[in-house]
Amino acid sequence: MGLVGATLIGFGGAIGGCLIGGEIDPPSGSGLLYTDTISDGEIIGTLIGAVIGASITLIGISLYKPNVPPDRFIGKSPEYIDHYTDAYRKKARSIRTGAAASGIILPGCLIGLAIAAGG
Amino acid sequence: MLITLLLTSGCAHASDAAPLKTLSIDFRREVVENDKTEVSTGTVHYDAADARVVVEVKAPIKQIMVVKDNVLEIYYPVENRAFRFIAKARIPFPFVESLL
Repeated sequence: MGLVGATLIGFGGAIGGCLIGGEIDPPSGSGLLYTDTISDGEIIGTLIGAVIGASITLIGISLYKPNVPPDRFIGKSPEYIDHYTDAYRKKARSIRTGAAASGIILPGCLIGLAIAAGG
Repeated sequence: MLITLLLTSGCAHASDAAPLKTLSIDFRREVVENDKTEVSTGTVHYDAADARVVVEVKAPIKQIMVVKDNVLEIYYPVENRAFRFIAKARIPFPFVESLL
């Protein structure tokens, strides 16, 4: 999973959360916002959905363990493999989490909110 | 990266119609990184029937790498240590694939 993949996963997680959460629609008259086009429940549900979708995505990305290409290990000592694997996974995880967060924050949440509001 | 190959005991059948069954290649691999050259030598064994690759490194350290499907195992006979990496998909091994 590369940078693009992680970003798209973050984007998809936020959009999915928004769309699912936006289906929550409590009875009218909740009184939070005065608008005819979108109910208060849809707004709250969309936001909650976005948070849940984003959280699940970020947790999944951070738990993913990338594998180091075996070419790097040829002729290397066991201590090198220990340290290299650990450092590689930490760095890859932080890059992917950052990419997923980028996909979540701007495009995912904004577009998801817009879709939920328009629907 | 410079790879010098020496095809030693190529057990491939001589017939043009017969597919390759096993292959052994002695290699000398030089990698230049940050103005430093690292040289490693050894033998690559390929078994087509088992779809398994064994890389036996002789220098600078004795090391045996076995790659089959999504599992990579690395064994150090002198240090008596081993590693096993299990991937979600087939493990790419460009160094070996370039030889085959």
